[in-house]
Amino acid sequence: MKKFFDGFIHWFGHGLIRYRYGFLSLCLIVSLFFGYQLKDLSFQTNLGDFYPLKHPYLQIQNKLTKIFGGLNQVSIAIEAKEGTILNPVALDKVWRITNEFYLTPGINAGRVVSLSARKIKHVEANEEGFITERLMHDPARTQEELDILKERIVKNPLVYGPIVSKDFKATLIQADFESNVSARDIFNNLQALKAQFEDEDYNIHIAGQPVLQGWLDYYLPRMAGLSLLTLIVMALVLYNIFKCKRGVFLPLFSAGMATLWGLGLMASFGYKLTPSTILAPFLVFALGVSHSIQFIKRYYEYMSRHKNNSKAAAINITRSLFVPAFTGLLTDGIGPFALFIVPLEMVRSLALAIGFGILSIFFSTIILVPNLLSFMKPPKRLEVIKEERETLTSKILGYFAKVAVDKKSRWVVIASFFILTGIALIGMKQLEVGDKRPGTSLLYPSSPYNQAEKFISEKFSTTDPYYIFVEGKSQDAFLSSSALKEMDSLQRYLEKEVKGVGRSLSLAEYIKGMNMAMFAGERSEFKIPDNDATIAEYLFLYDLTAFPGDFDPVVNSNYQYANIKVDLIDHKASTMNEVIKKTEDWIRLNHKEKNIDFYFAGGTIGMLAAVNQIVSTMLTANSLLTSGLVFLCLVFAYGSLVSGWLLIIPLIFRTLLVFGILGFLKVGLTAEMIPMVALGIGFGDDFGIYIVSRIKDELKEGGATLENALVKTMSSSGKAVFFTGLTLTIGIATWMFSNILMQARLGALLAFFIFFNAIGTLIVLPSMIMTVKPKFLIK
Amino acid sequence: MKRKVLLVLAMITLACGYLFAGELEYFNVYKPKAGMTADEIMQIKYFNKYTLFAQDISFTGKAYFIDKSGSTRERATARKRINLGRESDGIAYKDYTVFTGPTQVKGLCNLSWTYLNSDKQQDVWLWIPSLKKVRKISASQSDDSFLGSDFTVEDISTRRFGDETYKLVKEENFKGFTSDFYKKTYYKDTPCYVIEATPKRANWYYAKRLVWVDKQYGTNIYEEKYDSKGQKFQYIFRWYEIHNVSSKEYPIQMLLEGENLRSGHHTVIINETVEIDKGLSEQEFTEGALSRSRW
Repeated sequence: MKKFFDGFIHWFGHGLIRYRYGFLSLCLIVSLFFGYQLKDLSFQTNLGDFYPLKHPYLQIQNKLTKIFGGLNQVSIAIEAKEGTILNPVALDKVWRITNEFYLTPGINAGRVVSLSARKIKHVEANEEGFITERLMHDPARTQEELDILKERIVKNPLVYGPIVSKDFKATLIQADFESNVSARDIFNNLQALKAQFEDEDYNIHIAGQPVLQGWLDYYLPRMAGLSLLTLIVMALVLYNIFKCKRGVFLPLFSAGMATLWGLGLMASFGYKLTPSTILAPFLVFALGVSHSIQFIKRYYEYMSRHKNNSKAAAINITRSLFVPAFTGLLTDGIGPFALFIVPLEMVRSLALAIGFGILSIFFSTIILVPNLLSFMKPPKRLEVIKEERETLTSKILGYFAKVAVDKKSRWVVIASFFILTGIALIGMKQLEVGDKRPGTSLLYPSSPYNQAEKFISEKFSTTDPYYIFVEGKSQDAFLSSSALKEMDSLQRYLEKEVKGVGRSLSLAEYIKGMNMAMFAGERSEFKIPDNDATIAEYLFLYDLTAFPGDFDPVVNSNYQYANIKVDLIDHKASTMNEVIKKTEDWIRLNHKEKNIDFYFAGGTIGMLAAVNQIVSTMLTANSLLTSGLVFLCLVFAYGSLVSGWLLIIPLIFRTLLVFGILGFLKVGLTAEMIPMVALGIGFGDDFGIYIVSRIKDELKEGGATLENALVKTMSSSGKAVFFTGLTLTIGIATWMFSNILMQARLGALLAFFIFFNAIGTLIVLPSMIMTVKPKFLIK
Repeated sequence: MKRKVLLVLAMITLACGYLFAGELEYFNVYKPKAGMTADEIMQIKYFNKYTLFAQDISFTGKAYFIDKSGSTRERATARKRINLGRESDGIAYKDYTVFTGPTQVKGLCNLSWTYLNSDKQQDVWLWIPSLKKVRKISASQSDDSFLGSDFTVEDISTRRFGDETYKLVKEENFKGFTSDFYKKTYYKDTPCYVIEATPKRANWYYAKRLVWVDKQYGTNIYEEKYDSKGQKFQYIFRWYEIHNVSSKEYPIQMLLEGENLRSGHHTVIINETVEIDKGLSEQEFTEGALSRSRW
């Protein structure tokens, strides 16, 4: 078998150079083809990508959206910089914005909520009966009108707090658009409204899912601008490594081709550039550069030892680096491959895009780099000397080698490594799943969107709704007193038992309110009537005064489906878990009404809880799967179990260390951590592979002892590993400049993880090799 | 002095009549004539809308509310109206509506008194059968929904001649309206006046209506509403059956169909039976009658 592989590599290396014109033309034609495909590539954000759509909670949310609407709900808060909003100017703004919504095509008019919305009524009961009228049919203008409005607001718990802030500094307008209206149109409409109504006296804050998507769409193309920064930084790093033009342009050119092919493949399969897939080109570019560095470094080494023949050098480096490069790329591909088990489209599409890129790197690095090198004039002597001379890096690496060679010090290294890992386990215990800051974890807390979310959340406590879906077994199920009493009981239980619950709202509140109005406003009559017929009549009366759809957010038109909306004060994992657990407990112990069923968890809370569950389970499962596959790959590549253990154990320990650090830093575990770990493990073992392969080569060439081979490897491949890690880190670290926090966080974590892996490999692996002295190295 | 009082009374009567349906007298039948102005045509149109030609009128009918997905809600009613046009207490007419379906709300009744003076709000009472209580409730606002339909209260009951200004846009043969409900085309090539009606009230929920008035009977057979952005957002179609009563032709609205073009929601109101001038007593339109009602 080994003979067959050696024969294949020999044939491949020579064939590549013999038919170099053919290979070069092929690369050119394929590049032109993929370049043409880019015409179909466009930016697109889909918030569904960030959620596990098949999770039971998301299924509940889908049902809720389908029946009650609310998919495209937006919130606009008007804030008075000075004084309150109870003045003609602010109220006129409310009236005009509300009216503007009613005139907007695609609006779900039944879900428009504001002081002047047609469905927001003032009800006043007396001995004879009651009056019902729009709370603010026209903007209040005189002081008397303002006083009356204020009095009515304060008396109405569905308005005072939810629509007008308790300090009267702000008021909220909510609207919902039909599902066929694009988020981009909604975002543009709202931005236009903001521009029209914001002035020196009033701030306008805009939030909601379509607004978030709009912001992501807005930031996304800017991410492409970072590619120029990446290119410049990479060029500088490469120049620092090689101090020559070919050392800069060749890796950039080959990585550029891999990136182009990767993007072309994405476009050919109909994929768009999303907040996650847009990261793939950066990653592929950095990975392409890092693999090229190994080839060019080896090229200079060859040129310094042998006569100046570029063709021979190209054949030689292809033969030497085929196995480590191929194995490295294979294990690089394992990360994205393993990510396919994660039920998040954001992760899967990123994995696919990276997978396309890695496939392309195989061609760009193993075929194009040696091919182009074979055409180049041999480097000048000075160029070789410059590249090969001793630097601070090589001195440090030499020191690491010396530490490994010395029996005592290498045990100190290994023991320190184990102790640090032990400490990391303590840090890991402090890890908490989820992001507890207000707003979305996709954007920075300082972003306009999160600022708006924070403002609305603080003033109106409406940002984190938790929905319980109540399904009747037949139509008119909610014309039943016992059904409504159960819903009411569940609401009171959650309000009492869960600290994080602000308030709750369901059909029960409306019926209780109507009953109170029927009985002259007696507070004691704020209850569900015992007679089913009375409930039917109340609902009918509500229906008679409302436009079609006005009641839809609460109960559907045939009274078969209803919901309970529970506002939570935050979305900390503990709060979410508690409210879900208490709901489950209440249903198990108290649900008796046979004609209705309760389902949870919908709303933002359900969606976030679902993501948290995926993160909790998938982080471990995916890490184990990736590690297992990398292990098998290593065993297969080197034909030795020991090789697998030797490389995978430090990698797992380094992963634990990273999570320990995150735990100590109180960084919450979010969905981006899943690709971070998978890619970090997949890419992180490249460094070990290049070191091990080089030691094998040194030993194979004969004469050298393991100690000598190690010292030599560290000064040559070790240096390349350091620079490979550095370029990869820098390439990914540029994501930190993204306006999208999810990208920046993934960039920071992955860059840190990869650099940590590179350094960790250079410090620990030599000591482990010298301790274990594995036999596969001399096979 | 007596003459002055009579003159004032006559002027008040005229003013009230004008506010309601122009200067037309109750219990007569009016039809448009060639050369009439837009205002004169609309006065007749309003007179017919409120069936002021009849002494009393009773209907049984159904209303269907159909959403975009085709899901339909149905309501059944029995209604009666007595026209008074009485200056002494200013009452124009009294309406009594009882809901006969859906079953759960059968017997829920509504009584309303409408006044000649358009500034005076309707008086409205409600009978809640399960509580056995009569409750006086506020009159709906003009731009509220009419019985949970796509139509506003003023579309059906409170819009008056004086609420809008009118311009005769053109005269044309109506292209016909095909009812989604009955799958039948009505009024094809019927000669019509097309009148543009603009609300006097600023910032109203519509900016203008285009109204097609049948030249022969002066009935509003079709209208389109436009918002302040010039977009058409609703149409309403009405079909009238001509009833011969005491040798007079009464146009009685039997079908009303409309759609909210923004939401795609449809409303159809049909009258299945109609009785005219049966001598209903005003006693049937009192709070007491409401509480005695049994269905």
